[in-house]
Amino acid sequence: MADVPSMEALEALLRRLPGIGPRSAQRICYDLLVRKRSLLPQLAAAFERAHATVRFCERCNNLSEAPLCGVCLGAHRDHSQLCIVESPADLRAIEDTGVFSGDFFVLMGHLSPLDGIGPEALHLDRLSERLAEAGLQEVIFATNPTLEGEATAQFLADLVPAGITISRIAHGVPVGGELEYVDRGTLGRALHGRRLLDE
Amino acid sequence: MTTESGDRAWVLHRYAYGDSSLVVEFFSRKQGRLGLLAKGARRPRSPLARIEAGRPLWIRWQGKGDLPLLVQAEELAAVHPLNTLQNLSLFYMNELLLRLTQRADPFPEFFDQYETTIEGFNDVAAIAWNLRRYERHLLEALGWAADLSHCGQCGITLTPDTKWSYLTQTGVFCPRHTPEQGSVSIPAEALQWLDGPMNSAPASGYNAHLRNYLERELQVHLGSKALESRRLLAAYLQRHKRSAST
Repeated sequence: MADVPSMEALEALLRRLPGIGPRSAQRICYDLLVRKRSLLPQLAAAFERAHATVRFCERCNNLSEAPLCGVCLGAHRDHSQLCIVESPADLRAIEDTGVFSGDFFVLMGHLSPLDGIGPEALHLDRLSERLAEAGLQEVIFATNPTLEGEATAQFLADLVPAGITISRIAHGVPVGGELEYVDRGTLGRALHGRRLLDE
Repeated sequence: MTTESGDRAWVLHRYAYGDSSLVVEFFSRKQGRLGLLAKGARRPRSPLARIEAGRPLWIRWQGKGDLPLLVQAEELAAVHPLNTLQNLSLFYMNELLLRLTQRADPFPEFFDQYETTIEGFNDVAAIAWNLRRYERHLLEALGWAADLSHCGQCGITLTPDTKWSYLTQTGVFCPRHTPEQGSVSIPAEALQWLDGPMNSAPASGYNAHLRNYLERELQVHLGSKALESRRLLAAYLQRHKRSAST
């Protein structure tokens, strides 16, 4: 595509997005430039607007167009519970479950000493402010069930003031799963995190 | 570097490769450090999705070059969740190996020491001296361990109840031949512990001496960049004000 440098540049940019390889990038380019040309200015405008207006919520780090995100401004949130997650995508996933109505704090990552990522990258000053808020009764660590996610939860749990319940989301057998096919590490965690039958 | 029979290995580190794959750095018995591409391992239903540090695996791979393909990783033992100190200590062990060793440089004896150290984590109170033993064995495996049993100047044998001194990358010195500059004093018993089998805890008063000595010896080879895991471990211990230093 040496004779169409604009298209080549567009393909190169698309390839940098998650889930888009060279062939997908090429297909999207042809689709936009041949069949859906009217989408191009709309896409450009949408990207520009998102770039100009989307920022991080000043209270929880979620994506937002205002200083405070929709979750933090929610009228019916339970401020006695604070759920700590690694990314805005994790926040969205938990919101989508519909079973949690408490507050959130997004760390924007996890501890990963082997990648040179320490606690200073996790907005601990702002997290400490949230943990000191009156009325907080429970902190739920919903970091990923990886070694780094566990270490992050364990390390940050020390910051939670005494008297506040600290919990970790459950890990284990997926709903509909069969024990025989579950890996031993996950099954072990499921047994460690077992609960009473009538709960 | 193709293998049909496989090898016992532990994950040292893993990081994303493309949208759905991982590059996994293993420490294997026969190959030493080994970087493998785990294709599709970030997909939820991939059998490779849950391979991570802290559990022994039996791995098989195929291909040559810088990044052969991981084709199988089978857990060899159930692993209990690690507490904070165990987790951070594991990061430290792995970061040391990643910083100080090269791929395809096998250390079968040190591989056994790696496993012994992790087994020793079951006793949380023993983690500190287990790490000291690990550090000393790593220096030995890499050929960087100093002779601790004789004075580097006169050759006299180490005797207990005396204060010896050491000079980083040089050796240890008897009281009569303490170097005028740059040496650090250390009880002879601490050196004797390091020079022995290290099968049981050293006397508690020697922990700080041992930690300082080994940190200095390792730092020479680590260069100016600090170990992030050591910093994290120190921050955790400081917060908990543990007297038993790690």
